[in-house]
Parts: sequence; structure tokens; C-alpha cells
Amino acid sequence: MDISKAPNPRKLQLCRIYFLTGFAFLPFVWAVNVCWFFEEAFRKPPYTEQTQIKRYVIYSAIGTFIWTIALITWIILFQANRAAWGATADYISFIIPLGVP
Amino acid sequence: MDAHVAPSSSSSSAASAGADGSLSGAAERLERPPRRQQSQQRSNYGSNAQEGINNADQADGAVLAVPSVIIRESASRPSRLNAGGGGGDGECGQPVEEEQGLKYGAQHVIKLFVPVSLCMLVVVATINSISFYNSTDVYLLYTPFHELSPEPSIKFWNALGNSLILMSVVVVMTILLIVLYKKRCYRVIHGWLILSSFMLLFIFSYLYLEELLRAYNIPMDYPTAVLIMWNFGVAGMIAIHWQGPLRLQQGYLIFVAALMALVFIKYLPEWTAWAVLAAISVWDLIAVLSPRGPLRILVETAQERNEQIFPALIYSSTVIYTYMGTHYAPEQPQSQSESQPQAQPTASSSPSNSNSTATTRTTHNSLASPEQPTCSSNCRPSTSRASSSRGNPRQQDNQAAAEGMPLVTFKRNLHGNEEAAGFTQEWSANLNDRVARRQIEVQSTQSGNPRRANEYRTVPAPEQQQPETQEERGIKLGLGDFIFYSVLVGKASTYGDWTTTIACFVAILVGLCLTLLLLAIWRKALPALPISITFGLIFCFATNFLVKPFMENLSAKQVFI
Amino acid sequence: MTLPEFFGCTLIAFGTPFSLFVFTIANDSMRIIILIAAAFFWLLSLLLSSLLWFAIVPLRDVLAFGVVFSVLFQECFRYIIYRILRSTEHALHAVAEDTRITENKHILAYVSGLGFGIISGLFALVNVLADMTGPGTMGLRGGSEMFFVTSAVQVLSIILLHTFWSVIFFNAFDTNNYLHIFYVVGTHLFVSLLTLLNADELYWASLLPNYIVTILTAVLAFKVAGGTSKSFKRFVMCR
Repeated sequence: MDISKAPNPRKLQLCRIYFLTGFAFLPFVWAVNVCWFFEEAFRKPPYTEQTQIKRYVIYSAIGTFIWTIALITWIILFQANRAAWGATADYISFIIPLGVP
Repeated sequence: MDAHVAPSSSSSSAASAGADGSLSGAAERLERPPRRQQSQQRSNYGSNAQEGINNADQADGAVLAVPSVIIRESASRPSRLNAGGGGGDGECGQPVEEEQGLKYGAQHVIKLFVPVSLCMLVVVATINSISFYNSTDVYLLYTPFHELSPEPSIKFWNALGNSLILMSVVVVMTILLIVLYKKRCYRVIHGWLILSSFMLLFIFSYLYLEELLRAYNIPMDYPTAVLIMWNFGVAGMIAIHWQGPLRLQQGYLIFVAALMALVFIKYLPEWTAWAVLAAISVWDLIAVLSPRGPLRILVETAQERNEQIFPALIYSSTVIYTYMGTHYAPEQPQSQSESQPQAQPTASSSPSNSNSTATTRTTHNSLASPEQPTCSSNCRPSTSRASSSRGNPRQQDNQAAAEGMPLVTFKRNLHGNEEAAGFTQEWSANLNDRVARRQIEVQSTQSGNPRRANEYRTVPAPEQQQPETQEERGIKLGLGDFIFYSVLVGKASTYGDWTTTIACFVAILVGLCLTLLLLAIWRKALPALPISITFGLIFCFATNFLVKPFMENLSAKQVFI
Repeated sequence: MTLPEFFGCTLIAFGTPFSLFVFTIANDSMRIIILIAAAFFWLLSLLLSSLLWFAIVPLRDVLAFGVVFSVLFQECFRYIIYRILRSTEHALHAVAEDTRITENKHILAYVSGLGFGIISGLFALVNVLADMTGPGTMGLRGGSEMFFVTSAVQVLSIILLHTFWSVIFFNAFDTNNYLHIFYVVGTHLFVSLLTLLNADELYWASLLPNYIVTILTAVLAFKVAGGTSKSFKRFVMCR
């Protein structure tokens, strides 16, 4: 939908719902929230709901950031130590690549 | 107040020429210079007013009113009321309209080309990089014959049997859907759609991810994979079935269509796939165009009910619905005092007349489609309805909320994507009509009359007030069409010959172009599969058997033509 | 060497046409549609010529025969698309958002010519490109290692030539300039037949004349489109 045409309370509501949804291990939803409402939060002339939207957007951005860092760290750890961890790594492996590590 | 400008056609009157008029000599009309009509148009405006009333319920095909400038005069306002009618000047209005239709059409054709191409690209890239999708070793339940015999005749019979079975499944599903729709079992239908998109987004995406990683030999652990799938799937469900950014939604729809196409390519035996493609386009033709065709019935029903046929299975090139809707109506600045009384009631009335998809769209529909019987409601029935609905606005709101939203596109693919094909283009065409017709600029509603002059495109709305509606016009194409185009191209690319793939691609795009051209000329719902698929099949086989050896010969010797 | 070669050859052959497409076509939806329609017509002509080639079994190995007829078919279809575009000009004029497309007749010619060129280039090269990425192919079947590069270069010239030819051809029919029509058909035949030499790896013998013809055709097309040496100079000097 085109968010710029929605009435302000609706924007706030949507932003809030997206923000809350993000807590269910859904950093992607947070990321979407940030992209979607960034314009609204920072580029539009001020209106009453904007401060709240801004807050949600910033929190979402922080959440996304933390998740990204965590995920990247974990992936690097896993990829680097997959061979060393042996059976444990195999146990949690979704795809075990062919060939010698 | 502001008669103006531009090749203004009153889309309204043009509408009436509709089905019969437009069939003949469309081309010739195209060439007629617009100016003359315009003036005629203008003069006729007032006069149709009276006769128009009776014609309010004219044929559905009649109307693709293109965004066009309208001459807004307070005097002529009554005439706009029944804009749909006006048999008199329909003839002259038509060409102008066609031109306008084509004009905006060209842009929208491109807006469809891009996603169709993207979808095909995803499929072709997948086919060429992931060998999993290249070979058929597991089969769908619907295709009991596996074409294992080397004998062509037996393969042929197998393919015929398979496609017959599959087609009957499709037909049954279509009819089931229509029965459900007729009985207003919207919850069942929505549940169905949600379930199938759930399966696609989670299960098939999971398979896709697995094969993708396997093809590139990338190790991944379960926690990451589960997190990715969970995020991907949930965001997809939100974007598709609820509200999300348009781009995201479009992206998901394209991906889902591509995924479904890949499933078909993977699980259908070779000859069966071709047979199904041919059969589905024939079915499409029948279902949409024959007088008792199921899809046609569906569309007509939807029109009677003034609904957006449930927001289904459709890729839309722009935002087609607008939020707003009953809850938010109050927030809209409605500066125009005269308008308010009228606007409000209608807004709230819509949920009541289509108690299902209580969406903004229904509102639009009921408000704005001049040709439908219900629309005439704008004058009289609407008030009654309004009053009835007025009684329990709360309830409706709840319903709206519960029922899920002004949604855009559901797609139901799992079983019924074939139907999807049909529906959608039918719908898309129709929606298109309707959407176009009721294009109202926001300002028109909100601003006072003087500002009307600014509207560059409006439509003869049945009433001058449209509550905060704004729709952008967009052509919509069924996801089913996406799927089958992609199946065709993908199947062609499994032969490993890029010229065949390119030939199919070009042929399908040209077919799509022609379909849209016909849509603009005939203004009725058209099936999008037949022309494209026919071209595609012809070019696929011709390229594979004739052109390929020739080109191979040439390029091996480095001869260029 | 496979992947770099693939990208290199792709860019040689399609870099220029692609940028032409991006800068001159992609912004206008009508032009994209005409481009695709032109590509479709080229496909039809190719279909006809390969049908002929396929039908006349004894001459299948004589490529020259197929080439001559293919060229003739292409020119026929160029004429057909010319007729179609000219007859729908009114409609186009009404429909196009950008009225330049009909006011300047050369735009239509250019767009359809580019469509012809791109599709013919794609058909000529795409399978070769696909082979290029394959596991370690340097010269196919012990052929010359220049095979890929020369193919790409040749394709570039063909694409550009098609564009110029269309401009000249359309204008020639508008002004009844039979000499130009003859020139288009003649050079097309010449270029195509010249590439027969490639089979014997006489690349210089084919590429050099081809590029000379390309430049000549470019100059002619420029003149036909109303350019003069003065305007060219002004263009170069960015004035």
C-alpha cells in the first residue's frame, strides 16, 4: 500500500504493529518497518503522530542492527569452526557441503 | 466551473458505446483525430443526462474509462450521475477514449513487462543453475501417467490423460470457488488463499533454499536457516495478505509465482507440461469469454455485488486500493460541506452491501462504478443502505478488521493457480475497468469546487463526492498468467538452448502486448493466456526444431546474418 | 579465463547497444514496445528463412544460399514493419506520451532498427556466450582462440549496422530514394556473405571490410537523419 496517502493515525498504528511484530524473532519485519516509515519519520513536515513513529522507526533500526550483527557473528563463527566442531556442527547443519573442508 | 482542456473525453459516455460499437473498426477509429470528438462530446454532455439514467446498468465490458479529464460544471453534474449511460454520443466518445486508454496503456504495459520479465528471469536463472528443477523424478498426484515409455504415441496419450485430469481438477476448483463466492463464504475463500500462500512461502521456499544452497555447495546451520525461513515467510504473509510496502508485496508475488512455476516445471512430465499449457489457455478462453463461462459468472457476480472480486491473485502495477475505509473516514479533512452528508453515508454503506471484504475498495466500487445497477444506488439506494448500515457501524468496522483488510492480492496458488490464471485476468481486466472508471483525485473530494480545475484526471463519478478515495490506475495481471508464462519460458530453457528461451520470451511479451491492445479496444475482460501462450508455443517448437539447427550451423561457422 | 572472457565478450558485443537502449529507449514505454515488436518481426523473418533452409534439404550444407535468403527475408520484414509503423502513425501520435516519436520520423526507424539489431545479435551470440562460461573452452573443437572475440566484435557491427540500415531504409521509402534502398540491401548481403570467410579464419578479411561498411553506413545514416559535418562538430565540441 502507499503509506504516504494513509491518514496519520493509521500510519502510527501500522508502524506500531510492525514494530511489535518484530519481537517475534522477526528482524526482517523491523527492517521493512525502517525502510517503509523512514520517509514518514524524518522527511515529512511534522505532525502529531510523527514523534511516536520516529521512535518506533529508531527502535526498529536498532533492533535490526543488533540482529544483523548477531547473525553475522554467528554465521562467521559457524563457517569458521564448522570442521573443528565435528559432530556437533554436523548435527545442526542444514546443508553439509560436499568435498573436504 | 472549469470546463477544460486536454483531449477530454468524458469517459462516461464513451462507455456506452461499449461492446458493440468498439468491435467494429477499432483501428480506423484510432486514427481519428481526437479534437472533433471532444467538442461534440462536450456539447452532448448535458443532453445525455436524462437518458443516461436508464442505462445505468449496462454491459460490463463497456467501460474502461480511462483517466481522462472531465468537464466539471455544476450544471452538468447531474449528467455525470448517470455517466454510464448516454447512448447518444457513445460513438464519438469511444475513439477518444481508446486513445487515452492506449496512451496510459503503453506505460502500464511496461509496468507489466518488468514483473513478467523478472518472474521469467528468476525461473530461467533457477533452471539453469539448480539442476534439481531440471529433471522430473517425483510426480504430482494429478499426473498418474509418467511418460516413461520411449514410444511417442504412448507419451502422447499419457500427456493427454494427465492434462485432462489436471484440467478437470482446475475446472472443479474453479466451480467450487464460484459456488463459495456465490454463497458468500468469504472466510472459506480467504482461508484457502492464506493456506496456499502459506504453503508456498514456507514449504516450497524451504525446498528452494535447500536446493539453492546445495547447488552452490554452501554450508548452513539449522538456526540460521530456520530464522531466514521464518522471517521470509512471515514478512511475506504480512505483505501479501495484510498491509505492506507495495514493492515488497510485488516482490513476494513475483517470487511466489516463480516458485509455483518451478514446481510445475519440476513435477510435470515434459509432454504433459506442454499439453497443460495448451489446455489451460483454451480453458482460459472458454471460461472468460463464453456466455456461461465460470469466470465470467464470477465477474458478473462481483459486479452485481460491487466488490472487488476478492482481492485475489493479482499482481497490480500500482497501488490499487487505498486504505481509508470506514475507520478512518473521519480523519479525512472534508472541507466541503455539501459533500459531507453524502460522502459519509456511502463510505459506511459499503461494508454492508458486501459484507465480506469490507474494504475500502468496496467503497470505491459502490461509489463509483456508474454502469452497475448498484451504483445507481448512489442516488437512491445508497441512502437506504446507508441508513441501515449507519445503525451498526461499529460492527462493520470490526468485521472489516477481522476480515482482513483492504488487501491487495491474495493469491491462491496451490491448487488453483490455473484458475488464478483465469480469474485474474478476467478480474484484472475488470478491475482495471472499474478502477479506471472511478479514478477520483483526492482533491476533488476534499477541495471545494474551485479546485476542481486542477484535477487532471477524474472520472465521471456517479456523484460528485467520493469520500477520500484515491486510486491509482494500474493494470493487473493474474498471478496465474505469470506462472504459466514462466512455465513456458522455463520449460523452453530446460532444453539448454538460449535462442529458444529468448524467442519464447519475445513471443510472450508480444502476445501480452496484443492482449492489452485488445483490452484497450474491446474494453472487456480478456484472457491473457491464449495469445501469449500460442505465440510462445509456436516459437518454442519452431525455434527448437527449425531455427536452432540453422543458427547453430551459422554460429559454428561464424556466419552472421 | 572462461568467466572474464564471457564478460568481456558480452560487453564488447552488447555494451554499446545496451547503453543505447538505456539512454534512448528505456525512458519511453512506447519505444520499448516498438523495440520488442521489431524484435518479433525479426524472429518471424528468421523463422521463415530457417524454414526455407530446412525445407530445401540438398542445399542445407551450402550456407551461402541460406544466408542470401535470410537477408532478403529480413529486408522484407523491415519493409513490413515500415509499412505497419507508417500506417499506425496517427494512432501512435495520439497514443505516445512523447510526441517526438512521431514528429521525428527517424526515431521510429532507429528504435525498430535497434530492435532488429539486438535480437539478431542475441541470436547469433547467445549460445556462444553460454558455451564460453562452460568448463574450459578456449577454441571450440580445436578452432582458433580468436573465435569468441571475433564473434563478439562481429555481432557489435551487425547490431549497429541494423540500426543504421533501418534509419536509411525508412527514410529511403519516405523519399522514394531507391538508391538508398539498394544500398541497404546490397551492403547487408555484402556483409553477411563476407562473414562466410570466417569459416576459414580469415578474420581480417571479413572484419575490416565490415567495419568500413559500418562506418560508411553510419555516416550515411547520420546524413539521412539530417546531420551535417557542422552539427557533428558542434556535437563533439558539446555546444
